[in-house]
Amino acid sequence: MNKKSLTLFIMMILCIQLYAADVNSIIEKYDFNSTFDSSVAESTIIIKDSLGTSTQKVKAYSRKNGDTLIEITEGPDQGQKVLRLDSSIFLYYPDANQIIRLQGSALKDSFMGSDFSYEDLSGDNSIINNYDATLVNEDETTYTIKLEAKSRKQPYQKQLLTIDKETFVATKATLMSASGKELRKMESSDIRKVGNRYVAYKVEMYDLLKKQGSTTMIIDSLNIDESLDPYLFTTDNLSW
Amino acid sequence: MFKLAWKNILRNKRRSILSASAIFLAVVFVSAMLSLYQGMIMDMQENIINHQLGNINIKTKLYVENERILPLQFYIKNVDEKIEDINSIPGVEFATAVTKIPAMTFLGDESYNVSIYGVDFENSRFFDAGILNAGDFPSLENQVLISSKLAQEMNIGVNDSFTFLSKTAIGGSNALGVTVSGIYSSNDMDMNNLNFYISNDKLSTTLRMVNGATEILVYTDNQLQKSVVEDKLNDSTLYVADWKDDSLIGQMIDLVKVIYGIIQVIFLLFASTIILNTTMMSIIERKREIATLVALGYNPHWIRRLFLFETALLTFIASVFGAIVGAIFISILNKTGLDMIAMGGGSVSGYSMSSYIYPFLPFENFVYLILIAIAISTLTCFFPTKRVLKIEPAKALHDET
Repeated sequence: MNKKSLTLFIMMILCIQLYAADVNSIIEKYDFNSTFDSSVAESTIIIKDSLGTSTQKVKAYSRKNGDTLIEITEGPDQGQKVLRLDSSIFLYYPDANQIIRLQGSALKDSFMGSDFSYEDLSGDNSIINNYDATLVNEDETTYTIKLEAKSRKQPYQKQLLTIDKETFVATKATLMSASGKELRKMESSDIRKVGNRYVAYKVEMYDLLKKQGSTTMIIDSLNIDESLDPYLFTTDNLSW
Repeated sequence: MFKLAWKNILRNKRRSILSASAIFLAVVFVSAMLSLYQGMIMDMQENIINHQLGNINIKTKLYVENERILPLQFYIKNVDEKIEDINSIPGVEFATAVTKIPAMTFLGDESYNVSIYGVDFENSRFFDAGILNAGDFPSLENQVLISSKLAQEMNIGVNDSFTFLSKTAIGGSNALGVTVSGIYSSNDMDMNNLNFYISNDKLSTTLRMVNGATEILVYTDNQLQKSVVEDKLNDSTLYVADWKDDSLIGQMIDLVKVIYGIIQVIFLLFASTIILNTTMMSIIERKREIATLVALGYNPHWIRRLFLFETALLTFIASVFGAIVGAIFISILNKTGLDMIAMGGGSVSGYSMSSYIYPFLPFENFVYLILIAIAISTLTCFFPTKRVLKIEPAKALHDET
């Protein structure tokens, strides 16, 4: 290898490392916005489908390891609770005799008939831990990042995120299967600063496997990094 | 002619018995087969009408269009008012709301895929007399009647509780804890799957479809046309169907009738080939006798008719005996019933078949069978007896000497 080739090779390696560092720093900032030590969010979920529009209010508690408790506080399904612990979902229905445990593919089921799955609303949201990222495009205001899951466990094996350069919040996301089939599409807006993070207060989700309809989730209130009683994330708490 | 024909039949008893036996056995077999078919069709028809569709079935058009995915959202609203309207139609015995959904039951860590039927226990034809194996029909909202197969699968009995989970009509899900009030076992094999029955009022509330049902079953005097119900309801969103339109079995019944008719004719044709053979033999053997009769001035056409009459008389006697023996055999089967499960029918799930079939054949079918047997055997001998017309008396008498 002559001197010229060696210089070119070193420059290439440096470029790749710089590029990787750049993508990782984008993802780190994105993750910083979307993952919290704990959070308590009250939201309104508006489901539009062939039947018309239905509205339910939910209160969601979550902590960093992905454990999530969602209570339906208003609407036809009021009183129902969903608890996500590791890879299991526990459902509490006021008229049932027992708590129902869902596992495996059931986690991909629709939450309350919405375009969100149980998994979309719970679990570990961290991108850096679960996906390999590649920067595929950059314009004046956004980065477009392609994600590929590190393990088969992830509900979406591929994702395409459009991340706002200023806030590092994903304004658009296309969630795909391993074969690249588009499963869901998400659009975020109403980005507000909460403490030192940016959070999208309005998220619209489209289940692309359904013929029509969409679900809009509007955050009514959000408290992050509050200390939460660990008892909240137990099955005993569900039936109370 | 009768006396002569009878004499000729008795002249060669062995040959006559052989011919008659073929017809006799064919009539016994065909009547037994027809009775089994009749018993099965009547049984399936009864099960479909009583346990699935009613004489007339009503759903929403959108439900029918999307039935493959069981679209609960397209349920019939204000079902009580509609039932009241239908009940006021002359010829309607009663109408009842029914909701059918797939669901999952949970007991401890175990879960089972089941079918749930929301019914009006006091106003339905689902439950035949003696259907209960244990316990009683539900009298409380959260009580259910479960099939013995489900009881066995879940290892539960009367007064035990479990939870079921289902999708709701608004797209979400809901679960309800229920207690077993009774366990049933039906003759209708389809009812004995992993099913349970609950009050439609409770089920529809749980599924967020208050005063709703996925269908209305209308039981009629069999004369009422669906158009009368359509006119009364005057609702373009509803799909009103006769049970035959809405059931594959119903649509197949007429086709099966034709197929059985063809099979019946084929069997009798086979039996008639023996008669054909013996008639031809008889003509050859009696060539001299025929020639003598012709020489004496008998019309060859009259002689041919004599042969045909002999065939008809023999077939009549054989088929009447066949019908009598067939009727005795069928009446025994009708009393004992045929165990379809033992015969391998247990695997024919989804056809509304009962575990026991009771063959029967109306009297007029025996009459038709005898008439068809006579017609077929006589027609079969029509061409061979043509030989009679070709016999030349002088040549025939010369050949014989």
